[in-house]
Amino acid sequence: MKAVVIGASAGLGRALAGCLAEAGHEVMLVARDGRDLDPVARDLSIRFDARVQWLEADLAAPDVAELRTGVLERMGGLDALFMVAGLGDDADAGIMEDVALRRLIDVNLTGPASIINAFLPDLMRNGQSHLVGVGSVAAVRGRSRNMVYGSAKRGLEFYFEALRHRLDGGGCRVQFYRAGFMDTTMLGNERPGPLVVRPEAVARAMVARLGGPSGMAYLPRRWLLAALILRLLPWPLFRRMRR
Amino acid sequence: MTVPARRLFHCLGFGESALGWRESPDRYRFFDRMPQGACIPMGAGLSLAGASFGEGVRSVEMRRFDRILDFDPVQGAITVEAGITLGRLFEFLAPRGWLVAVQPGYPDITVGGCVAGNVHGKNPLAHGCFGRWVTALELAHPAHGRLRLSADERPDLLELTIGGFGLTGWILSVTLRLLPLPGGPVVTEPVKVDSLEQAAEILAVRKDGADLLYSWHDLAMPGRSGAGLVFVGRHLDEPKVAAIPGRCRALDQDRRALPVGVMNRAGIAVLNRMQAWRWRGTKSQDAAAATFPFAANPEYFYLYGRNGFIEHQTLIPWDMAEAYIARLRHLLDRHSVTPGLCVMKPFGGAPCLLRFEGDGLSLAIEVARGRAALALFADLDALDVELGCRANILKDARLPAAAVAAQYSGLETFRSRLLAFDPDRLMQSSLSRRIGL
Ligand SMILES: Cc1cc2nc3c(=O)[nH]c(=O)nc-3n(C[C@H](O)[C@H](O)[C@H](O)COP(=O)(O)OP(=O)(O)OC[C@H]3O[C@@H](n4cnc5c(N)ncnc54)[C@H](O)[C@@H]3O)c2cc1C
Ligand SMILES: NC(=O)c1ccc[n+]([C@@H]2O[C@H](COP(=O)([O-])OP(=O)(O)OC[C@H]3O[C@@H](n4cnc5c(N)ncnc54)[C@H](OP(=O)(O)O)[C@@H]3O)[C@@H](O)[C@H]2O)c1
Repeated sequence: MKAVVIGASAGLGRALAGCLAEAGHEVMLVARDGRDLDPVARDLSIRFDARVQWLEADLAAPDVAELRTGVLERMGGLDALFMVAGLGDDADAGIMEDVALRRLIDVNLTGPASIINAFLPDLMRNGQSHLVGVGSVAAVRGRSRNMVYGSAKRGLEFYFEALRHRLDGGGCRVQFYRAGFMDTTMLGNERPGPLVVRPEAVARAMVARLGGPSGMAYLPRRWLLAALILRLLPWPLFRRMRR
Repeated sequence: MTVPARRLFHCLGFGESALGWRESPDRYRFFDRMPQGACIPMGAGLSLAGASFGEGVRSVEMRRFDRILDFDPVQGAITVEAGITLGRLFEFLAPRGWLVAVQPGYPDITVGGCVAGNVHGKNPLAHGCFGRWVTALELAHPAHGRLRLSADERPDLLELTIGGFGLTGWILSVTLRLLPLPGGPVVTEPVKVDSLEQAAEILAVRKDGADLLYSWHDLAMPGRSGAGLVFVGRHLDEPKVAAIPGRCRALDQDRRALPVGVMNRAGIAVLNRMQAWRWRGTKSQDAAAATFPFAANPEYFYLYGRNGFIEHQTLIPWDMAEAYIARLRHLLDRHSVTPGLCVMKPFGGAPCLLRFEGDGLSLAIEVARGRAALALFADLDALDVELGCRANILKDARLPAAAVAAQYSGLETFRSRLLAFDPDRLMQSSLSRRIGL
């Protein structure tokens, strides 16, 4: 399989690229900085004897045509697109600068949608392809933290739902995950709490589920229950969950 | 970019603690910025002294930079990012028939920590210390950017960085020469000795040829003769692929020991009996178990009292070995202190700057912290100076500046070269401040 991983230089994306390379797939790593992508590509090629390349692109303002040409030229096609990159902001709790707010929406929603849109013809033509997106448990219910981030992730999830509807029966499997807390730099530098898992565990599950059901799922799975409770919590109780 | 978190750091054994900041970056753009205030690189934080943290200092953890950048399976060379652990590296190398020549006994230790500490392995006489196997590295320093160091590029800075306690900046990547890994097991044959002196004699003559050479002693028995075992290990060359390390339990620097130390004289005597019995016969281990003996029993470190333990390792010129041992025995009795561990190893190489390296016999003791232990160690400092010995700076969390100054003729050179490279002294740790750097 030829897989493109957007956001492959760190955290979940890097772990996912590792699982894919280990399973013998060809991988194209995409993120903003070649200084981080190059070591990942070298490591995976050396350890798994896999074909791993990289391309720089910025989700905040992607040149999607260039990215698509780069991918197709170097890999000669693609079978899977993993939209993993995401951006959070500590200031995202009510009052933030306009540029920062727009950036959150660009990186988490506009950029991903525009890249998917560019690769859609290739994925549809393929006949047996995968489109996988990563959202967040922060998008379960609107809260006073991660307000814009959660909204953008919810928007991305909605787009994936629409894509699933559009691509149904056509051979492109669409999967979306609401990821729980993972031990990556996105969580900051505090000691990881009890709910935090290693990104490798989530990545392994994503690869294992590639042949599995389409649609939305929680990873780790136990977030399903937590999300259900959060969703159903009556307003008088929910409104107190403010920090 | 993330905000560093406030954190109370301890070194293993609680010998040194400090309230500082912790940050764990994973992208190279981190090193583009000029940090505010003092920083120090951190590997796994497994040093026995406060080498990778300090009061108000920002500890920058390197563990997320852990990739393999280049591997030459023909010549036996590898380039890795400095945050990779010895265990992970072993997992990659062993099935391919290669081995890092010098490895301390715990798989979570990072390659960066090994370079900055110029650590030693199982036979420092035959294999030297870690720095001997480093052919090149990349360093990042806020005032200088990214620098390549090798025998041809800034060799002076390379010399300062190997055994430089992280004070020259962040080691980003390291190129190492490797040793072929024999396929067979490591067969260790214990030789019974009645005293430390007898072991020292054996270590002096059995120097070469062994892949593993050290002695272990019981100092709890009356008379403190130091009866024990000299371990001579050989790696058999059989066409079998070596095992990869099993899962090891993490050593927790923050975990307090048992409230009452088992490591009093009676407790130690019992433990020593058990150890001696366990180790009595010839032992055949796979390469992983022989490389990382501590991986199997991290609990050992929690047996000390709530104060934890302190270690003193000293490098004794061969002709002073007998005198040192006699004086040590006397001091142990005078302070009524019984070491929970006493290990000797023959050393080689040449002394340089602040490195724990050079011809001689290394003797390490570990004791439960307390007033008596501190008094004993103060006397050992004086003894070291008197007999021309040098203490391992990275292992002794209380070693005072005066002792370092008296024992290391390279201290002034180290200081002046460090100041010339970094006049603002951006990198600082509890250790660097304690020894007056
Ligand atoms: C169970 C156990 C067994 C041990 N056995 C031995 C042994 O047999 N022989 C021996 O010599 N030592 C031994 N040690 C000590 C250990 O090898 C050293 O203290 C080593 O430096 C620890 O590495 P670390 O990755 O934990 O680094 P840390 O403890 O975090 O840091 C050690 C020093 O290295 C610096 N440093 C770390 N990473 C970098 C980097 N990327 N760039 C620049 N500087 C860096 C830090 O600033 C600090 O000065 C042992 C320790 C334990 C816990
Ligand atoms: N960590 C968590 O606890 C958590 C919880 C729930 C959901 N998630 C979601 O899980 C996904 C992965 O998160 P993570 O924790 O692995 O994040 P991470 O460690 O910060 O990694 C994010 C990756 O995306 C890339 N990226 C960021 N901004 C980009 C941009 N503008 N253009 C291109 N690439 C960009 C990053 O590289 P560069 O920055 O170098 O470009 C990096 O490779 C995200 O969608 C996140 O929202 C995470």
